Amino acid sequence: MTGCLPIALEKATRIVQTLLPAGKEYVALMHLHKKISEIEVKKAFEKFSGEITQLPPIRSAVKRQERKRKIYYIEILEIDNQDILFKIGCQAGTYVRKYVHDLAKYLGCGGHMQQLIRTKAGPFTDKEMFTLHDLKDAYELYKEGNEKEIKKIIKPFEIAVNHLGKIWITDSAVNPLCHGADLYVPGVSKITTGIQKDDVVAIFTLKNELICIGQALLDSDSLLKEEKGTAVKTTKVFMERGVYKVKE
Amino acid sequence: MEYKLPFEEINREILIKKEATTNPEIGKEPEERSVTELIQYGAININKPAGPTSHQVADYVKKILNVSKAGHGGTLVAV
Repeated sequence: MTGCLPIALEKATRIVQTLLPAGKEYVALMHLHKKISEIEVKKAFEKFSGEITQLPPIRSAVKRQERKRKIYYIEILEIDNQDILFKIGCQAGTYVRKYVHDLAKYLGCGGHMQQLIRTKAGPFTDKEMFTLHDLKDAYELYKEGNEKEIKKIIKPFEIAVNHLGKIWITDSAVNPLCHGADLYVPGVSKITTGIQKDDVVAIFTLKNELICIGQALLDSDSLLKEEKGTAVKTTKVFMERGVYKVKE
Repeated sequence: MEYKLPFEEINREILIKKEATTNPEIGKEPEERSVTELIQYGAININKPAGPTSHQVADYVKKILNVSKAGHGGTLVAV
């Protein structure tokens, strides 16, 4: 696999866990072991869309039993003889290599995946990526006193939760959360629409710093309507204690 | 054609529940972070080369930036 690989640093490291359940997009190159007509290939892709069932490969991180995965979209980009280039948007945990294997088996000719490029991992896309060389060069420049390039490459870790619902809270509500407390409704200042109960949500200061991640106990409408009670159960804290402790 | 993943289809408008201001003397907008602070609370979208595993790429990043922790969030499993 090549392509989009989000990496979080130091105190932000655990934020990558919020990307694991997010949808992914890949561009894959499949090679068929025999020539098959384009019509048949297209029909097979239609069959392998929507909900599919796959058995995780022998070497996998999950229990080896058949499971259902959602294929959100499929687009054949190019058919060149026995090579088929396609784009796939899929649920987290879809094995694309296995998908290719199963599809080729269904076609009756067999086949394998020749190349796999990730183009989306949650909010991270192939539109702005950097190589390890870019990073190394930028860090060398930074050590020489030029921080322009490194600032282009290392982004605030807040971008990693762009796919989640968000809640902004008042200054006085921040510090208890840094100690692991849950968020209560009176601390809420702003919210995004589209939050469902039990969603993973990101909680921010009014300066747009990410404080913590939690599980919403109310949906967006209730968050606006309610005047008391618990709004979010805190699960992962990122901001250090005391940053929002008002000096007296 | 531009396709969307499920989370990209959700309409996320910002609604105000309670107007509030923030004390400029505490905290800091993410864009104002120094490079040292960015490294403590930063994320990089790496274009992974063929060859090394995602875990190895995270290790290279650690070495380049001389940091003790870096985690990748592509996927837990090998696809």
